[in-house]
Amino acid sequence: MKTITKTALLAAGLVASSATWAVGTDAGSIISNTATATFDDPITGNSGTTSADAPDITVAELINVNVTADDTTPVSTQPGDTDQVLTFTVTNTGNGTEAFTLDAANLAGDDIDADSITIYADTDGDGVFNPANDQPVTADLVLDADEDIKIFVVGDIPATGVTGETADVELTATSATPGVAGATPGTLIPGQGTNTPSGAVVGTNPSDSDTGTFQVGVIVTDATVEITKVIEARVDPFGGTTDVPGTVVTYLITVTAKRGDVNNLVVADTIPLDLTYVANSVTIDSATTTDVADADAVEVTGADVAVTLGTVTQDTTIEIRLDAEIN
Amino acid sequence: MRLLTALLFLMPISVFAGVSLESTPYRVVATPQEDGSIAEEWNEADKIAPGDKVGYRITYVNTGEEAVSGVTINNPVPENTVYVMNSANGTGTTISYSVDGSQFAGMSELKVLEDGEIRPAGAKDISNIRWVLDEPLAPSATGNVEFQVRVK
Repeated sequence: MKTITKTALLAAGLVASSATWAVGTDAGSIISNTATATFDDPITGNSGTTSADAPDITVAELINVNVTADDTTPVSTQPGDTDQVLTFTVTNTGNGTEAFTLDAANLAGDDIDADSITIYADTDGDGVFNPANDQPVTADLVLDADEDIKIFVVGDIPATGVTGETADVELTATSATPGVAGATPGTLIPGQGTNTPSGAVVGTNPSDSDTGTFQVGVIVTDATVEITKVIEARVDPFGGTTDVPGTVVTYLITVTAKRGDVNNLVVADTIPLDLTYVANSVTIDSATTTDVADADAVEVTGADVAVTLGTVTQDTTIEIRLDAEIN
Repeated sequence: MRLLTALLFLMPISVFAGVSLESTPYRVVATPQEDGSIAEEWNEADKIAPGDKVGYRITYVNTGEEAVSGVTINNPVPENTVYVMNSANGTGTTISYSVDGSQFAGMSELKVLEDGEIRPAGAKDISNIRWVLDEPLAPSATGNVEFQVRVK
């Protein structure tokens, strides 16, 4: 029963609140410590108290980063495919805001190399590579503590690739803080770091990398059509770009014939309920059209837009634009 | 008036009965030795980062002219840190722990209620450490106690 009488019960919520280990105490946090002594005063017989503060400790920035390839299996491609995408997640696993330099490179030991490798950030935050919105990474990537971002490594597959061949591409993120390169973990870099008077400390992973793989799949000989649709522009009633009633949204639909010519190609689009199609606004490669069924390729019935492109030759890209107004 | 004068006269004497504390932080580093063992070195606390161990050494001294009994040192575990199991020590003291700052017991006797279940307290639950000196502290006698925490 002694156990029970000495048992100190702690509210469950207090225990749960201490479970934030993931990235560590923020750089610049202060650790204060005070010891207190009580004693029996031999002269007065009263209880005496004294205390001492230890010098405060300012938590230094610890520089760490993690790179993980999101694709758990090779990304299947076709010979000659362009703008093929490997997806990575880069996470600042340190405890302060830090800049990281990204580098993507073909690895040796595989079958083929991807060409024209470009690194894009998931600028629009949707997790999917979208060339209209996501920007190439041209400067160091700045991430807050515990922040992560999707990174797309985009490359072209050689036309000479054959089924089963692989191309390994490695993405590396390295702290851009001067002095980190080559330093052993635990090294203090004076004068650097976020909110850290003493400097930044090199963690166990100041640089990290992971590998994604393209693989040439079973060759598809049938012609196909690639189609994308993005919002290209917005013009609100005040000349700005907000989405309010009256804003005119310009959609861009891009159609490309791949691996051969396609015939009888018709692109159909239905305007969403909360938008109203702007009459006669469809353009095909910037050429204006009318909505009525006539010699041009466009016919609009209510909210349904049909663009009859007919025969499109291999690798030809056609841009269709149309406007709709927010109700 | 005479009484007050007498009291004032006595007061400076009582000031000499006392205990003074000093607390110093160190960066605790596990350093491999030539014989293959690992020793803990207590270095200057100059670059503390998450995951590092901080050792606090608390020095006590009897600054008075009489022996002082019942000396009890209490140190809350600092914010943003977690107590390092079995790291508290102090020669000639009895050490106890608390998870709430008010009830103290030996480590093995502490329990925590979490999610409706009672479980033994772990290092992360410890909120306070207490050292009770086993013997009265003689005039000018000094000693120290210490403990370690890990920065979250």
